[in-house]
Amino acid sequence: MRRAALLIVAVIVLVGLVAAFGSRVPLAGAARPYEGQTIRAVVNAEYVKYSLSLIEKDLYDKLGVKIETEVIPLDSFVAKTLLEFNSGSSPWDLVMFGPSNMPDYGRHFEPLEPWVEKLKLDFAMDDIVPVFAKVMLRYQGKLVSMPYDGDIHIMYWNKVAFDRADNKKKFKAKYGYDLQPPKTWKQWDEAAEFFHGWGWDGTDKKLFGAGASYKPSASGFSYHWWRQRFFAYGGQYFDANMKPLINTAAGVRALEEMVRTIQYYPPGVLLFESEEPKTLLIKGEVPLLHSWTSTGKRVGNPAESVIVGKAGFGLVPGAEIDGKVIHRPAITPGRGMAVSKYSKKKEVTMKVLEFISLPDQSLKIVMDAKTIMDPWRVSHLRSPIFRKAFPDADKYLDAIEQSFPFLVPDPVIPAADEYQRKLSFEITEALAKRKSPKEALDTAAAEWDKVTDRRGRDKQKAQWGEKMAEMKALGIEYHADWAAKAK
Amino acid sequence: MRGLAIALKRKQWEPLAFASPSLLLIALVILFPLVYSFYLSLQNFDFSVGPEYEYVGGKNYVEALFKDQRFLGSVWNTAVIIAPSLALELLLGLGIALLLSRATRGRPIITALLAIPAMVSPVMAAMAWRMMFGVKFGAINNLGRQLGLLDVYFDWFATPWLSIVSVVLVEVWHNTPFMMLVLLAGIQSIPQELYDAAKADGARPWQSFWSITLPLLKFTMAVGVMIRLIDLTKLFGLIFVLTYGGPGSSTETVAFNTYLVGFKDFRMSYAAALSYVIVGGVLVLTLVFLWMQRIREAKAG
Repeated sequence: MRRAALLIVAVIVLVGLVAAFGSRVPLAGAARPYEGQTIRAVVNAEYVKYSLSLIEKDLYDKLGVKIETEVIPLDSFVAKTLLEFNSGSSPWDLVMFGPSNMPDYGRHFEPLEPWVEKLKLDFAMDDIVPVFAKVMLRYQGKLVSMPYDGDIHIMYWNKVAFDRADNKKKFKAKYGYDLQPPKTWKQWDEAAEFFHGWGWDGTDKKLFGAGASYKPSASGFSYHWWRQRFFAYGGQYFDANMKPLINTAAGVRALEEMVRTIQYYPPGVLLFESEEPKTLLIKGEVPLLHSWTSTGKRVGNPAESVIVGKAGFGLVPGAEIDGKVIHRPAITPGRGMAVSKYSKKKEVTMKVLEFISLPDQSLKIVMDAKTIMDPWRVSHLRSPIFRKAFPDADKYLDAIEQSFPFLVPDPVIPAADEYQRKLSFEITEALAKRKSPKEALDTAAAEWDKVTDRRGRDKQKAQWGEKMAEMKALGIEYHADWAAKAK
Repeated sequence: MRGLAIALKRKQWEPLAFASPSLLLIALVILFPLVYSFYLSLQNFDFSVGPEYEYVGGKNYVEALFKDQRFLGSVWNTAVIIAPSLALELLLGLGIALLLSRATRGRPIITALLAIPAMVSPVMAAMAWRMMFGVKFGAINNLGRQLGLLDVYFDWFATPWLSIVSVVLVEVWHNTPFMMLVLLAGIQSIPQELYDAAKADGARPWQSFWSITLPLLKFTMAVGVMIRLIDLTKLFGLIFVLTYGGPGSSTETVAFNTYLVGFKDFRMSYAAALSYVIVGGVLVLTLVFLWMQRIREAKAG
């Protein structure tokens, strides 16, 4: 009798324990294991918020989680988020960030690997494009984030401009070689000069030579346009002792060319951000643009584009050095997603990060033209659905893939954002003809020195040393003689 | 006797007690930030480096006043924007106020309609004007084309000077109504008898304006100009939306420069020092302005 009573008590205790703790450990495969939980995300644009809405139904059906997304405008995003983080707190669980700012953000992110073990997460790491895996994911060797937006620049051209027999004839007569999508910056500048100011599409419209974004807002649009010439001419951010190299011959040549050719760009270009030149391209008003890969989706969207099926996609031009064309397209700078170290909902946020990074879910995000998010998985580029999403989508995706071996990252060291902004500002000073290119770049170099001193020269030097070695491994080194011999 | 003493004492502390919540609030939201930001301006607090900081004395002020070419450039830019803006706002405001003061019918409605721009927030005004200044689709260029004056591709921000002109235009559009309202109130407070007497003496309208309106409106004008001067040194929202300080740094004002230093570079102490330099500058300008007014009044007296 006594034994039976003990047994009953033991069973009751066991049932109680299961009831008390069992519900806290979601069972694998259980429907909506995190039902009722909401996490807070922070992003830097409405279109990023929209991108999360594309997976929210599936996320809820699978995990039972909802995302509450806060948008902080692009221009103040880094300042506001880092202010929160640097004060040792964060109202957000899931954090979007620019990977070039990883040295400033990384210490505020939760390392992913322990959670991969604990929750058996699968981030399909082998499917991430290697160059993104190299520059977007790690802080001090630890995996802390996943890519969300694989931003790079590729070149777009309007085939109408380049294929018209009349245009070809006129171009050859003027420049002595065949009209073709430019392979070098010299060819680009000559094409821009040739096309500017007349109806190259056969109409009597006044059209423009090429498109660009030169506003120094956010992390500096003009900087991205300058750097792709600069690196092609053998430039590098710093030498091994942190002496800025931006005001060397490569930098000056790049900026002089930009100043000289600004007259072939649309009015207003000095205050253009990312979307204005894209719109001019898809409306058939500029024949040439190098820009973010999201442009391709707008090109292929018949609701807004007049060049669907009439656009070409290729590598950003480079410089001919000793008979070989050196291309240096930019990683500019993309977006990553991470879990805040200060989050009180780390487990569920880890599950959400895994979910939005899944190949099929992330494909939905990068395929949608309205998100402006770009492919970052190999499977995105090879996806049969994506490759048929619009006319020539396969050529567009191939052009992205062809650019990967040549990409140049930002200076991924602490204060990357500040270095870029200071430089971008001085570039626009030269473009506005308030300073000579050399004077502007000398001022920028002096500003870079100030930033380095404020951040601690030795600390910066150590971090830059690592990045310089990584860039060297990618074949990116300083070549003092290239600026003079580049064709 | 004792009762009287208590009543007197009570009379002394009672107003203070009633005012104490407001005084406390003022101390919290005005005095504390003022004192704290001055304290901060003497340190080297740089949020991008870390939360630690140390006392550096007047180093930040020396940098701001003698070394920081970008800040000094922004002082010049601010002055270049302020001078024509203030002059135009004053002249246009006075002109409209004079016209309105003579209107016999519909004055309240016309005044309310004319005051609308001043009720729009600077950011909204800048956004609307940015669209109107737009190349190709902007209302101004399209109107200009129809009048045969402009090309639709005319870029209102193509050069530094053109950018300044565009900023001044928007600023004048936005704030002339304020000046108009202030001056209209001033004109309406001038006794009608003075004009009647002048008329009886055979004075012409411009003589009445010159000898009655203008002298009696001087103080109101001085107040309006001072308020606008202080406002214009804080010019930020319009610049942020319309030009972002560009092209180059041609429209970068002191307020915008301070924003970049504080909230983009995180140099909190230096930004605090810049703010104090701006406040000091405005204070000096205001005092000079008041001093000039007094000298003029003394001479006139």
